[in-house]
Amino acid sequence: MPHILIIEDDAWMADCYRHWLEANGHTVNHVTNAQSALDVLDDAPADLILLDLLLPHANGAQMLHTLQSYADLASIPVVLCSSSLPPHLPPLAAYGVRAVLDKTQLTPTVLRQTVGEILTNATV
Amino acid sequence: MDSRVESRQPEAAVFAAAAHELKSPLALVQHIAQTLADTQTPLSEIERAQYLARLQFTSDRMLRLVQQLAISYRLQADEQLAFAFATEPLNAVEVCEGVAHELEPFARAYNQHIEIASQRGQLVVANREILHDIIANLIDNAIRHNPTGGSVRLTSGTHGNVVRLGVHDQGAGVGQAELRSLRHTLGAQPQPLGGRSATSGLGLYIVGQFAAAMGGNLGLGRPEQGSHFFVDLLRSKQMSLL
Repeated sequence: MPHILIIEDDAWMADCYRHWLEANGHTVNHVTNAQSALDVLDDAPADLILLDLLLPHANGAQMLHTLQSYADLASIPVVLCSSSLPPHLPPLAAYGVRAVLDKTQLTPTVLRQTVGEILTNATV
Repeated sequence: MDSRVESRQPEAAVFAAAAHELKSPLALVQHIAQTLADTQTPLSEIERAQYLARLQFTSDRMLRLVQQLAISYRLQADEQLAFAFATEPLNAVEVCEGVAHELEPFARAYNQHIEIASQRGQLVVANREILHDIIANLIDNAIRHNPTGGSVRLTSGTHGNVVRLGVHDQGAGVGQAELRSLRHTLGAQPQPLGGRSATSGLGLYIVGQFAAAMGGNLGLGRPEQGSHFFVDLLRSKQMSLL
């Protein structure tokens, strides 16, 4: 059963995503900041990370750098999520980002499809 | 710089910050509605009630922000408006208790609790609704930056003719260099603080403006850990309203 880590500082928003993803048969963990994410990843490696761009302390961009600096975490696919996406986002594939989602356009179907496709491609 | 451009700077910053601050709760309202309507995994009655309560809370919060923005805009356009606020002697700690009670579900969502470390009795000269919004914004700010399981502590104390209402959290503190520069610019316009980049600083800007409109001011303490924001308000010379 694929395991997903949600890094999202809004607890209620994360709860919606958890609900949407568990319906697809995924197990889900949620943390509110980058440091807690690293602690959780040490104990329970994730198959995919859903990462909010704006976080307290270290933001999403810094988290992407951090993930790439650890050999065991660098290969985890990341879905970047934000309600305030910059108009010109640089290419982020080198940082493990497989999809970028605008929260204001996000639906349960879009999230499930995006995550499902990435996980399917990762296991091929 | 052209003075017309300079005078529009805070307005533009408020506009940008408001757009940013409203997008997230609007997206949340949309997500909750989608969760309630999601047929793939029906919610239990308890879950449905929880989601509906969150929907209500988030809508109220957005409405409050829009109302605060309207007052903020009017204050910016007409400084004399400040004198139109009806002020009265208020028990500051009692107002803090009311706000803390309202925000308790929000704090619980972040596994936090709000603690009031003061006895009732100190009276301030303030407008009840404006004071409510000041305290609510400071607590909201603290909850968002506190670590999971942390607590938000409200304090009050008298310093001469002012009552200082403080909100303490255990989140990222403000560095010494930034603290020095902020002493002159805090509340002058919305600005994210170092280590607190997830928010725009709009709430603190509104707090500063509302406090000034009642003859007070917003300040930033120097705690050993976390952050300590406070507002100084005029102390009422009336007897305690206990």
